[in-house]
Amino acid sequence: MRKRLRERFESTADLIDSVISKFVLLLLLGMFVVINLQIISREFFTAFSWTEELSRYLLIWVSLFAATIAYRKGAHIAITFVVKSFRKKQRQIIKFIMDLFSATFFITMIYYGFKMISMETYQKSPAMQIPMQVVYLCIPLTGIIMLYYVLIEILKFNFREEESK
Amino acid sequence: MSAGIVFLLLFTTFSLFLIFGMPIAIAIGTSSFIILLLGKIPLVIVPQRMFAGMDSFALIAVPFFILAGDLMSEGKTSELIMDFVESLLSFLKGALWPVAVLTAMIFAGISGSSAADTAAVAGALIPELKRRKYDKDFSSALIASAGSIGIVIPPSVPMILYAFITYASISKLFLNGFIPGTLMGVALAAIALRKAYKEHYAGGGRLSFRNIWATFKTAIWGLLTPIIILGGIFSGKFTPSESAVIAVDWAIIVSLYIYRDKRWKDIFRIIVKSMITASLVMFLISTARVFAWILANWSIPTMLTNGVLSISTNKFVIILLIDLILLIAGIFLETASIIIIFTPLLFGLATSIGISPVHFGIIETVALAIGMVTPPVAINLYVVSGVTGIPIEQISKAEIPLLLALIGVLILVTYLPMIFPKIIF
Repeated sequence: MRKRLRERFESTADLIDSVISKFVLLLLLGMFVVINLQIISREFFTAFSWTEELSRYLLIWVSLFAATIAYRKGAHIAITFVVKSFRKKQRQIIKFIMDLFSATFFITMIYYGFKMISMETYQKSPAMQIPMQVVYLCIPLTGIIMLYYVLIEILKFNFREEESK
Repeated sequence: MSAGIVFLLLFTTFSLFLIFGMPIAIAIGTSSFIILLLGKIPLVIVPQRMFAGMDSFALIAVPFFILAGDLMSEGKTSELIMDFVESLLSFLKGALWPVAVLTAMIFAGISGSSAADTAAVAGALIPELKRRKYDKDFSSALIASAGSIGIVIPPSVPMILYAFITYASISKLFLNGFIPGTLMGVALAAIALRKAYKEHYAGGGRLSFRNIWATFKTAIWGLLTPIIILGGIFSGKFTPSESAVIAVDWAIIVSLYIYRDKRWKDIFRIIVKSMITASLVMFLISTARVFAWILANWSIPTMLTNGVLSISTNKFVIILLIDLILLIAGIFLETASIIIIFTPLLFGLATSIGISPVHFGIIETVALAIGMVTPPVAINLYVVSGVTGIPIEQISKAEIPLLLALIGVLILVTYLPMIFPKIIF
């Protein structure tokens, strides 16, 4: 029963992951075009006022979304040589505890991310005049995705096996 | 809470999370979040600092320099540069070793990360080194060490991060990277040549100008990359971020239309791959800003500076201590993490004894370059080991003389500008 549930979660995660990697490509290409535009407009015409701001916001979005892919892959930089020296069961317990702590951080990103958004009702970006509420969305959104990924990892932990042994 | 308690709590929780394998970016965020909670500080600081931590045009250089390096290292560019360098150096015995070093130095001008530099040189040279029966362990160690020059000779992602944290000038840091990078290259090549002449390696042919010209003509497109990047920055025409984007423009043109070694499909794949690599650094910068906020709020760097200065005020001793801290950190941590965690802590101390921000940035970069070849956490050794299949332990043994030479360069880079301040531009 739990296994089937986990498999369903995993396949949803795969879907999210592949959508995000297309989104990351799109955002990066966008940033690439915008900065080229900035260079061309400044060198040959008059500089646009919005290119610098837009590329900064794109950088934040693309970085956070790419970070969720890295998180799923387990690619984020970590010290692994200590944990590797433990036995398998101890390793699983340590990972379980660390995942719980990570989950609290993602919950902070989500809850206080939305709180920050609710505090910025009238704030608009200086150059493009887009509501900052939209720009700030990237933090709680990526928090939700990483929380989902870490919950799958937490589900993998097998309590019953620990009890029986 | 007093600064001392905050410092102690922050670093114990952070070290525990780290040792137990939590990703550094999340460990730094979680330990900061615990301190904020205990200090009764509104937690909305967390998303605010995370956002502000990445909100900088200068940081755009990070993904694009990584991308330019990845685009150029996958494909023919590094092989063509190697062929050209070999035609220049083939009169030496054991020529492939200095070729590896010089190729790494040229590629350092294209790539902003040492891992990409190492991968490019290893990919191009290892098959040839194997075919000509060069000492495998030493060759691997040499390529790993030469690859570390990737972050010392500009462009350099760690220097961009350092400049972002300390407000030092990126172009000044870049400009001052050439001499230390060259010193590292010369030191490594000298050790390799000594070994080659002692063990009577083959080589020592005559220089062929026809060959030099022929290889130069095809390699020129790759060789132009550093000139385009650095020319743009040093002429003041483009910001480093814009130069990074221009480098990507150039890399795409070269691989699609000149060398024709990639299609759009490959470029899209490399873009996503590079962005994921860049996101590791970006996410870390983002969460580390919460950590930096805590350090500043409780004036922890001032506390540390005063603590150290109460023990000794001899600037030569203090800078030696800083070098040691950075080298030891380099054994256990990865480059970007050290820059992001240690710079805010040590910068005040270094400047209080009269080290200029640019000089300290160079010291830090060279020390961290060495950290890339000191196991267990040594990205360059892993990259080379991945290409050659030789285990890390074996490469590390051959690494020792090279490591000592690099430490010698670090000492020169640390002390010479303290005695002759004019050599920092």
